[in-house]
Amino acid sequence: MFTMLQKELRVLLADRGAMITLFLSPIMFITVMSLALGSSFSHLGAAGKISVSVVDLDGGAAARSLLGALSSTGELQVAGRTEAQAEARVKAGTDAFAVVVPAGFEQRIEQGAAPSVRYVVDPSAARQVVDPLEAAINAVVLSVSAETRTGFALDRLAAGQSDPAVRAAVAAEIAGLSRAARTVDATTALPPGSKAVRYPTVYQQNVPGYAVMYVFFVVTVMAGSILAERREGTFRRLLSAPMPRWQLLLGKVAPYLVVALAQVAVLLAFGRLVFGMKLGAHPLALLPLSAALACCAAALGLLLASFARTEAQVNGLGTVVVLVLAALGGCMVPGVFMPQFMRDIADFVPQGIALNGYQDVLVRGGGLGTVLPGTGVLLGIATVLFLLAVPRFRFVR
Amino acid sequence: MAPVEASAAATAAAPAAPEKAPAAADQAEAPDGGLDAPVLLAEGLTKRFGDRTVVDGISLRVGVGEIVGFLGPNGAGKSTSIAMLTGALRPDAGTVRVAGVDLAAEPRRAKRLIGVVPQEIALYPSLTARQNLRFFAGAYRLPAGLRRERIAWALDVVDLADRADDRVSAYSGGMQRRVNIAAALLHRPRLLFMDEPTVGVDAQSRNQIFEAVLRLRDELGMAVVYTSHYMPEVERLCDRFVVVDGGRVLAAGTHRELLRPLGEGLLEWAPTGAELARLPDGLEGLAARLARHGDLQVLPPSAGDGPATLRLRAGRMSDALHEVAQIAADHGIGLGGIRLGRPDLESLFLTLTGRHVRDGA
Repeated sequence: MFTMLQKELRVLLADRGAMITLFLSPIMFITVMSLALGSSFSHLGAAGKISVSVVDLDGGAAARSLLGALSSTGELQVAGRTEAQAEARVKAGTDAFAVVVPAGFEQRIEQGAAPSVRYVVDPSAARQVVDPLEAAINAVVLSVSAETRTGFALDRLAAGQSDPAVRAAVAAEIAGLSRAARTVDATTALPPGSKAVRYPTVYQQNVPGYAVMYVFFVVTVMAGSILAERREGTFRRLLSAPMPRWQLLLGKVAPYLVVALAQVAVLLAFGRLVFGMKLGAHPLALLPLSAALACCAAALGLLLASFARTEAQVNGLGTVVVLVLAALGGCMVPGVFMPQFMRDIADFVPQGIALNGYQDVLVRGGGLGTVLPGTGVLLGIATVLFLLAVPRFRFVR
Repeated sequence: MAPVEASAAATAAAPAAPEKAPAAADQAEAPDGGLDAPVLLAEGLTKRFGDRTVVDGISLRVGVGEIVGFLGPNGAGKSTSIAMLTGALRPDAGTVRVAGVDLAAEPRRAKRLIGVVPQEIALYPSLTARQNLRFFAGAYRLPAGLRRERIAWALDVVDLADRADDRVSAYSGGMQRRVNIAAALLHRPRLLFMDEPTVGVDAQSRNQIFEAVLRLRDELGMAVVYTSHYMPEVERLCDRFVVVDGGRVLAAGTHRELLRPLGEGLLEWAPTGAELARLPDGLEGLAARLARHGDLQVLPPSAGDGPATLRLRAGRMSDALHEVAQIAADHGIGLGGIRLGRPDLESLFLTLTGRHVRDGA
């Protein structure tokens, strides 16, 4: 067995094409795709603040108070701009929304009329975003309006007082109005039994994602190697050696389990050392998961070699199967970007099961107990694939 | 090439003997071999693929130190037979015993006595010759020390010791063929199967391969089953021949035994129309006189109005030639239309199968 392992690894190391496919190509993909998608991932789970321009055409204290109130919520990125600037930003899509405070805003409040504001809205902005936003800003406008109107009332009250002490007390009350709390002390809680959602960094997505995807390229390399042994007659020669067939088969499959594990180790080490990717609290939990993943890939390789008659079939069919399963499993596009039905499919694809397990460990701090169910499912899939492959497998055609 | 240990041939088949020659002591051990016991005894081998019977009851016996040519056109069932004889394919019926060991009952024991040189270059081209040989030695579970010794010996037999650490992909076709042979020798089999071992090689490499085969036979007493499409090559190398076609053995024997029915020689005569006109009974009379000296065939003219050809497989060539000379002298006929030949395996093949050895199925 050791002799076969040694031979297979020697042959593989001498095959530059296979080494590029299995090791260099995923490293390049991880690097390029991580650099390309880095900014997309930085917003995952922490949506950026909505930018809103406020145009003050009134110039009064109430309008300034409104600008202050909107800024103080902390949920909006508010800036005062000219009307032209605000409209240009909305038109360019930079802002989804602008609030125009018209001239006479304060005067209307003072007269007891309803306050008036105008919204400039990006026509492509979703109503699900714009409508609640308008409602929230209207509430702030009403709050500022009520506060302003109270101020005016107190002002008038103070003007009618001759006692300086009473006038000072009313003035203090008016000043206090602007310091009134405009924010609510709110806390967020999850319903019982719910887990906090944590999103992977770009490296925690791409490194395990491409590692899982490229582990399955072992399928084409292994099946191609089996067909080459058939074509070149080395299997025929080995069949005449005093070696049981099961040992010969195991000797052909086992090296690729080692190669797949080596791939995962190299790619995770690359992510850790080059990009500083965190490996989670229990990195050793990745070992059984990776071993089960390697079994799946080797079993699929054996199945492909059992059915394919030519190396062209291996390359064509193998590449399609590997890429489609990788896409379905969320190796290329993170699950959070995929619609729900695609995420449901990923739960049944070996790549998706493995990737989920890797992210449980890398992102969500999972340990051995977390990955064991996924590991079991992967081993089950590998067993089914082996059982389908072995009866059809031929050393010589 | 360095000589292999001497006098192995005489003792190779007697593993139980207390005093073995060094080579025989190293050779794969057979349990119940003896000088008269066959190294290979196959009986009634049959293989069907679906409804098609590819091998139909082939039997084969190969003695110690014997080189047997296993001949047949493409599709004759040779490769399937060899696959069954070497344990690569399970027969539907029949038995194979290698030096007394039943291949079906004790495959691992029997396989230790067999070496196979496949028709393909069954090597890993990206590895060196030495790495290839180390791997195949491992497949036969040779201990590490013996492994090194055997690799050196096998490389010496095929005269490639000085290129052992080059990658096989860098070798010429002939050198690859020689490594292909070396890989089958590492466990010093009692019986070597060589399937078209000289395909695509130059004359020099072919000669080196012949020398290696003869050396293995002469110095180790190794028996060889040899298949090839090159009839002169087989005639030069083999002691006996087995001709197969349609999955059956059509003939078996030594060169002399097989060619005896073909007579001493072949005589072809294509007389012109003017010459036939001088004969009293024309072509028929001439055919009747020649037929007294062997089997005669009257071949139709190759061109529409050309002369017919009389082909005679003569029992005694001198009598046939005397008759031809007499006819020519009596009727003033020239001998320009006469061609003479000796029977060979190619003509035997043509006679038995109606096809040339190199014809497709």
